Amino acid sequence: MTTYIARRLLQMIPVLLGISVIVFLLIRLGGDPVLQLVPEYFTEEQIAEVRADYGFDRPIVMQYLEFVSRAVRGDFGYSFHNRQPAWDMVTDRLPRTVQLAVAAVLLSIVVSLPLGIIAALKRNTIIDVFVTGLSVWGRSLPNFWLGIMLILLFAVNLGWFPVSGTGDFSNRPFLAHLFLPAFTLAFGLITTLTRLIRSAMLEVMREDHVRTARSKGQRERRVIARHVLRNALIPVVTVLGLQVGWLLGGAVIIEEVFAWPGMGRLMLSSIMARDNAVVQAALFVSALIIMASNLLVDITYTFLDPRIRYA
Amino acid sequence: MSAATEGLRPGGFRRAMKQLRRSPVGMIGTFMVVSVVLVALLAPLLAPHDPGQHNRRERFQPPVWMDGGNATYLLGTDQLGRDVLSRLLYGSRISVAVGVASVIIGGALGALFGLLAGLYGGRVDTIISRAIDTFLALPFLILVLAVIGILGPSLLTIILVLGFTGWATYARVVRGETMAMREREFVGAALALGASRLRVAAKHVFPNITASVIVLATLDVAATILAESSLSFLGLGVQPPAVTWGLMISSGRDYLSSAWWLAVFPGLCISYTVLGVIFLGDFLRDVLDPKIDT
Repeated sequence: MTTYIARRLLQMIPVLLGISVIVFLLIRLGGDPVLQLVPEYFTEEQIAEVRADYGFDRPIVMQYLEFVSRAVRGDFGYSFHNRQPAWDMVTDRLPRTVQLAVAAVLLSIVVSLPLGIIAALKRNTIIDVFVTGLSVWGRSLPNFWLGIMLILLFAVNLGWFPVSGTGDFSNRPFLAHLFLPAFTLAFGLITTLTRLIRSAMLEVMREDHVRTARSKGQRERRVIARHVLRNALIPVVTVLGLQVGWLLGGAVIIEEVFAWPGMGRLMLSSIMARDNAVVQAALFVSALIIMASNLLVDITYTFLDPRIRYA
Repeated sequence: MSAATEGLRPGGFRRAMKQLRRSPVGMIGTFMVVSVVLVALLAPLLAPHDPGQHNRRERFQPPVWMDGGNATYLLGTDQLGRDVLSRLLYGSRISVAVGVASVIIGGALGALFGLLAGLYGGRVDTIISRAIDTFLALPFLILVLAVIGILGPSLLTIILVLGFTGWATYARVVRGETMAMREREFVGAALALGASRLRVAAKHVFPNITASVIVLATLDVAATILAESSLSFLGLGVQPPAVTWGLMISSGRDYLSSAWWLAVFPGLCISYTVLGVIFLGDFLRDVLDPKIDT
């Protein structure tokens, strides 16, 4: 197990280097990064001063090595707009995005698990058709539009939830503020997981060990819970892990729709303001989270399925 | 020749059409996709008004079936008095153009790199595989937003960025299939007879993995249309005076309580288009039966 984790960590190094190259080159895509930073009225001397300040006057390989050596220490430079360290700005906002993402994942499991199980057990009935149809339709909905529709219905018309913002973490309004954005973010995941749980359950239900369990006279509920569901959850874990990138991308949009002050919203405002240091830090943090979640998925496998042996 | 590719051969076209007639999902998907493409092509002929024409006296006209609505503006007007129906019809053009063009770029690039990695193996495979891992570890939408934020939004930039950032999924699938194909006897025989790797790739391997690429690309069109609408919604899509559904939703959300139709109809258009593409993709996957997880 330890060998496996060590090997997986080693495999992450070239990927991390690749990400660092992309993040480094990103701000150079639009031409001279210094000209993107300075106002138009700056003189040549002032531009040269800024260039030297930021180290843009050195060869690009040296700039890259300097970038990597600082990035591993969490130093992405300062925000051009409010002069704070970019890394601190991103990590300050990260907990809000994590709250949203965790709530979305929990909601998606709570909703899709019963839906997927019922659809599989009631295969080819009206319930199955309804659940499957709903999950297919859900795939086609843009999440920002769904968020707006939920605001229109539940916040503007019915007044059940606040329109936007976060409320205070220590009291109930926080959950009221969290529900609509979390549900909107979860919706795409709910449709994916429901279909997945349904098809995984149907597949496992056809397997020999399930037939054996039934022939031994075990109760149907026990067969479903112990033999079917446990095995059907393996692909669910994979998909949940693979959806982390999608969740982070979705969070940018949902945070914008619901004015949720997370990392996504910070990133969007930084992109608009061309605050490159913050964009680089946020992109790097997002990639780290995705890589960590992929590793976590691989490790979780070994616990879920004893047939899988890595070491 | 595998069953997967049989449907792609000229002789298999009739069989595919026969299967389409038997599949309600395929028929509905094809109808929905064809209708959107036709609307996009014929928008200037179909639109009752100029989509950019302001008319201050006709601001916030509700749809025809509501109190105060009139037949001149079937789906109402927006905050500047522009006809919503005409704007919806024109909005389909950007979605279709971006969806198709980006997927062609991403699919072609991904297929090329996947073929190279699968066929050459060794160092070429290692480099391409690490590049695939790197791109798959980056959050797609955030990367696209960051690049467009730096390059500036335009139709061409959006198509190119969505295309260039979407290659990795194709490359991973094509690489895997090419590696499996390399083990097949007919590929080994062609190589043993002295055929160059490029010739083997073009003549023997690629025709056998086309089914996977087509299914992947169809479903990717749906994802790309959603991504384009998200970019437009966030203000990083094609800029006005061009009309996009995402932009219509973005400006319509300021008038949610008084003029709901401004945000509702564009969303339904996106959903209709994406649903059609998903149905078509699911049908193609069932007919062509490639061994990929979509």
